[in-house]
Amino acid sequence: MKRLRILAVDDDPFTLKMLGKKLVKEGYDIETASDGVEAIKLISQKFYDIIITDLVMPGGADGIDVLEAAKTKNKQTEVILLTAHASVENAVEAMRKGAFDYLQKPVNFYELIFRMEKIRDYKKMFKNTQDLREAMDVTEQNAAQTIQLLEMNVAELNNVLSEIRRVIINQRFDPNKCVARVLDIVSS
Amino acid sequence: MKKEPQTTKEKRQMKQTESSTSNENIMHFNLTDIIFDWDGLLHRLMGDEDIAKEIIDDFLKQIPVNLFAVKKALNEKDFLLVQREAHVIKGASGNVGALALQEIAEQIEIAGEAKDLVKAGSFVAELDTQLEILKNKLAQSKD
Repeated sequence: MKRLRILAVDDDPFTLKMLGKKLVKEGYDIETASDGVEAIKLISQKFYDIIITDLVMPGGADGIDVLEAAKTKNKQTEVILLTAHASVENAVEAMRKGAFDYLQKPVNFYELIFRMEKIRDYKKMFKNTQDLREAMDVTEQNAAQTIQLLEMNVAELNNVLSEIRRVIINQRFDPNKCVARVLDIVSS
Repeated sequence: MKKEPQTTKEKRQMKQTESSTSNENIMHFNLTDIIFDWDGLLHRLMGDEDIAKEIIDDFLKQIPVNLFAVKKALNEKDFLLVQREAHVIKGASGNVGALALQEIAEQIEIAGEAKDLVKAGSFVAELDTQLEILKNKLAQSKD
């Protein structure tokens, strides 16, 4: 599976720098935004597998706005919220709005990476299910085509048979002519 | 500097209870042993000392800028700005593990909300002192 694309959003420059530096070292493809407005702009421009965002941010957009923008753009983007102790209730509300999980600040990277690996596994499973469904769809389509083809053959053979029957009935007194005519029909 | 994070946390919790029960003694709590939770920061970064040091360097460069903004706002009696800047210092300090600064910044934020010029002023002075202590401690530990 290719590297996960991450967007980290936090107005605290130190948290943001830690996220950027540490996650690059851990092999993730990461971009950062220092507020919600910048994040929403980036989300509108490209796809991210995971967005890690602070919940409470000053300015026009907070973590919930980032979450909503991400989920509106693409449901497959998973969002992890970062919260100060005081805003756990808001985080639970955010979970209802489709966040994957939330973490309390200061950020513990053991916990964060554990959750990101869970998202990666979940995405893998989701992809497997999707692949299976696609394979099933193709099989079903092939079967339907085969049945259609068979039905057409049967119809054609029925035509030939009724033609032959008509010839035999019309020319029953001349067997030679009859055989010649039937051979004509079959070979056409 | 080399403190067990567990102990530090416990002490910190004790202090928080103290400060919330007796507001008058708020200035007297002893902050010396919880200036910086280096072990906690290092643990959260999965032992990455390079990043931890870089973050601390950034932090020591940035906080004086915010502190200056708090002082300026206080001079102009702009309590909303005092609150906002103190909030930034509190958040940043908490995120890197500068626990003493975090606590004092929180007190400035509270004093700012109460529009208490005297209290805010003395906590700002305290923040100044603690920032110097932190700088010295961290400079020592680099050797």
